[in-house]
Amino acid sequence: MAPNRFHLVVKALTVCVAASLICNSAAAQQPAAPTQQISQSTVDELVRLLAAHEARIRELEQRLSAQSSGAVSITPATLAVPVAAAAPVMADMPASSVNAATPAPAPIAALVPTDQAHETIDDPHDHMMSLGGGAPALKIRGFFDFNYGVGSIANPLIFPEANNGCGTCGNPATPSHNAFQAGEFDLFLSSKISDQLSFVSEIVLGPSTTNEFGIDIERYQLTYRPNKYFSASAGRFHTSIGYYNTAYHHGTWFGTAEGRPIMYLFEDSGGTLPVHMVGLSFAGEVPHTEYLGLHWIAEIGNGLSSNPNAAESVQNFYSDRNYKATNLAFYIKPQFLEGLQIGGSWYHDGINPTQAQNPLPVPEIRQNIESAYIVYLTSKWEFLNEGVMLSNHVTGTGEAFRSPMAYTQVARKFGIYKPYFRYQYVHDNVNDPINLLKGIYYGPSVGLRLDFSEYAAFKLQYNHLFQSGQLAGNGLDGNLSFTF
Amino acid sequence: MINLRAAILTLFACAALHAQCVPGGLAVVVPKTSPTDGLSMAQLRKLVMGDVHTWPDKSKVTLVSTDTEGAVFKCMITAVVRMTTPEYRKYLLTAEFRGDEPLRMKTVDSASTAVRTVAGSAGAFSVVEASSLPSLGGSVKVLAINGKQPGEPGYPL
Repeated sequence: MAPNRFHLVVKALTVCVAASLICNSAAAQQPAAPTQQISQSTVDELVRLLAAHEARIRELEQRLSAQSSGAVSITPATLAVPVAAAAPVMADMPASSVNAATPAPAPIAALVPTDQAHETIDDPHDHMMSLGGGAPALKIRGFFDFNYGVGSIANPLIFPEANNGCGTCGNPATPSHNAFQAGEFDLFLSSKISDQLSFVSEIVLGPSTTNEFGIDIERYQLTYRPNKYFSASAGRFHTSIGYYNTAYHHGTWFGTAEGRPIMYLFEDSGGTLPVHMVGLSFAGEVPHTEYLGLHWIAEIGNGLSSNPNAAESVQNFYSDRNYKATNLAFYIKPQFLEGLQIGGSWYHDGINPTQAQNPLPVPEIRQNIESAYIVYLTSKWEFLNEGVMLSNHVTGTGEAFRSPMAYTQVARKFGIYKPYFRYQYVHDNVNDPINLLKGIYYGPSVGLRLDFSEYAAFKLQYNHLFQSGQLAGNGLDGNLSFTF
Repeated sequence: MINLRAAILTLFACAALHAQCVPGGLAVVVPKTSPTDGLSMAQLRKLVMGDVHTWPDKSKVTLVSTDTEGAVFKCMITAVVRMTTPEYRKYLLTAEFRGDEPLRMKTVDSASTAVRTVAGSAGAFSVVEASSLPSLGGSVKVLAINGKQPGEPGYPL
């Protein structure tokens, strides 16, 4: 279409719209009056008015353009801002180097209203719900994984609910058949309630060897964080034992490998460590340690049930003792080597099996869990190393049952491919009166993660596991995991 | 015919050059009222990674950015945190999943809107093309990085 004709059409349409508005306005003012014809002179007048406005807009645009183009030429002089010599100037760092001579406030004129910007939803996979009126928005994100397992220990190692995978973990024994398996349907819900208050939760639906889906609220955590030196959380959270337990939760898409290391198996999958805690958690950075990046964590809450065979070992509501579990952890994230994190923790609990809802004839036990780890994570490399010592001391006799456990994992990313290797060792004392997992388990896993989409990955993992009292087993498992 | 080929080749070359992250091509801007005049690269990294949430004047750190698929954002992420954009998005998601406080971000339609938003929002900062600084008209403050201003030798962005 020729430009002139295009302009004419636009003008004609504008006139029609203007006329329509006038008619509507008139109709609104005089609802009972009959519709009046617009005379040619009125239309001409409107066209003249529009032309005048267009000319005025053009004039203003030219002025604005002239102002911005001739404004500043970039020279060192124009950029000469007093520089604080790259000294620390952020609030969360020593404020002494902040330039005392605060520049005069900038003229706020001509600022575009900030409503042209919108709070980011970091990517297109976030789902927000809000009632409006300033109420906190609810953010929902989902995770799911789907698997196919072949071999005797392929799935038990990943979902060790079958008897041939974790000994006496209490679930019905099932023969290991090749199977397609639904993983965890994980709904992650979070909300920023105020500047200092936030809430996160995870609702997980997952099947077991009974083929029924069960539902668990795996995490619910209200956090008050006034500054980076202190935060307090209340609810159910992952205990800060070691690194993996708080770095990875239920969304399997996050983890490089399939499944958690045996030592960090969830309680309802036969795990021996108290990976969940219901109570309070406090955390923060230690002031004046920016170079070292020293952080602290202190937790207190209900320990696991005194009867390891309880249907639900995490004590969400009822506690079978007054004794509370405590955990203290420290870690450093030094500035001099990005990606490095070194830490350790000490957990203590008093377990009294005679007071459990289903009592056991076992004396009171003092449980200590010490952990140490060193991890190195960059966008290319992943190197995880952890060791944990679980000690159950029987009061009265002084007898102690110690269970060391450790794993190492290394991975390197090549584009969308990420081959990885994990070797793990768990030696649960067979005479321990309250451990579910008994015996020695060790062996390698090797796999390949393929991120075929930004939010979906395929993992193929081979496991070889030596188990005390049983033949070594092999397994191959394919896993499709994604977030939505 | 030869001219046409040359033109096509030139266009491709220009496109390739445009897609590259040119050293010294980025600038960090904050409101003129900000007491901060400069950052080290480590501090800028902490800001972008969401490890630091407040400025010295207690204002909340907010990154104002155009589309995260844009060239400036990609170059910024590569230069500051040495990640790809998908890796950075996964990092933010992981932090949120852990229960950490993620970096506050605002997305805007254009670089000029980003600058105007920064100018009017305490605690906001944005990374823009250094070549666009002349057109900003002094509405924002350009931060020195490692003690260097854009255009100076040794400027790290």
